[in-house]
Amino acid sequence: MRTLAILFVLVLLPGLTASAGEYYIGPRAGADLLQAPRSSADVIQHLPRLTNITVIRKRRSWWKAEVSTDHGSPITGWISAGAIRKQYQPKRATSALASSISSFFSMFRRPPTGKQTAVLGVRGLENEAKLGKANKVSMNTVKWMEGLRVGNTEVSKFVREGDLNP
Amino acid sequence: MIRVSLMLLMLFACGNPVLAFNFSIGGFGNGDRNSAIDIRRIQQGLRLISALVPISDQDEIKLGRGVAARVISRFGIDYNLEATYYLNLLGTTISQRADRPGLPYHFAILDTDDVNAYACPGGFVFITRGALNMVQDEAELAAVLSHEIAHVTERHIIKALQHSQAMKIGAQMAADAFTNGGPLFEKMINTATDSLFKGLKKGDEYDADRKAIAYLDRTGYDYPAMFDVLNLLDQRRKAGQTKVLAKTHPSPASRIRKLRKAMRKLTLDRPTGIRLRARFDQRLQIKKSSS
Repeated sequence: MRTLAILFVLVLLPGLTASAGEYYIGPRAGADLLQAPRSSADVIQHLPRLTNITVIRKRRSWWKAEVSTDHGSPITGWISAGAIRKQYQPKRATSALASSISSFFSMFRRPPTGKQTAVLGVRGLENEAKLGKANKVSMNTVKWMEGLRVGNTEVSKFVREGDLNP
Repeated sequence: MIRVSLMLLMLFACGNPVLAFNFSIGGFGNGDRNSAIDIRRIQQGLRLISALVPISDQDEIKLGRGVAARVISRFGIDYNLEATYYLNLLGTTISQRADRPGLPYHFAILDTDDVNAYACPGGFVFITRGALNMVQDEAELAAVLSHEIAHVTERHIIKALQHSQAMKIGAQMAADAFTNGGPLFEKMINTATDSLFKGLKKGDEYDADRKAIAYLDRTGYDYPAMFDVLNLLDQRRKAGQTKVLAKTHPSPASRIRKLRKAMRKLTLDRPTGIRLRARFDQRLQIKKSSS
């Protein structure tokens, strides 16, 4: 029984404990900051798209987050995980030691899914079946790209703000 | 006379798979069936060699989607939505002032720190995260995108494809491949992807630089930003940080030389000085000072 309890803690703890980091709401629509991790809970505040948040706890599909306000003290509540995106973090230069440690551990890392390391027609294909699968995944990304197309109103605003040629 | 002409045609056809293919359909290979020779089919075959197979905008977009999928397969995408949205705003602004404004353009960031950018047919444009981190302001980013958009407007990949063996199949078969897909269409996508990864002709790169200056000028950006980008690339090249780019592009120094020469023939307004560094930093959330 005791062993089971320890196992339970070891397996589930990483997912339940605090996991701070920079995230934001978006990109298409805003989300509600709720008092409890369920959709029927009271809404504390509606967060517009691209609001920066700090995730302090991840609990399955509901994440507890902190949002800073104009009047000082931040507010805390629950947001549906599907509405949260990770912030862009440009890669920083790392020290030589850190790079060597990283490259050593990269040997044990699983290759990312949806990516194909063989280069088509240039270095030859190692596995065409894998490439076919990768291309299917990538075609979904192409569709995603097509869905991101901006409208003329947004472009006009962008041009005006930048004082560019109309 | 007809016999001599036919012999000449036959000799010509020996070195050409297109004609060989068309002859076999017409039954020309069979010596005792000369009566079945369809002269019109031979003439049609000859026309196929002299004329390039036309590729419509719709076909180009279809092809471009396949090429874009392969680029994504190779590098992966950096799903920074805010940065991608900004890239699309900037790219669309330039493309609307470029030579093919009706084409729908799409822009995305590739998940690699290599410094490079890729333009697929049909308006799918990619910039690497490395290139995004290299440029210093919006005008420089606009210069990179303008260069890639110029590859699309000038149909450089399409021209490379049209001159390749993959397109020596005749207009009708090419049209069928574009409509129905299949192995022939896959071959076209592979050939176009090869052209993209192996690099275009040097002349195409110089051409794209020249067009990029014109597009920057039309949009209102400070067009000397193009030279700043080339200087940045030169610095990176000397530091050995642009190995892939160096293989596929002429040296930045030669591009600068050619561009200075070409600019004498371009009718440009005075540089506007619009660089938009603050907007660039804000939209990309890159704190250059801390990196």
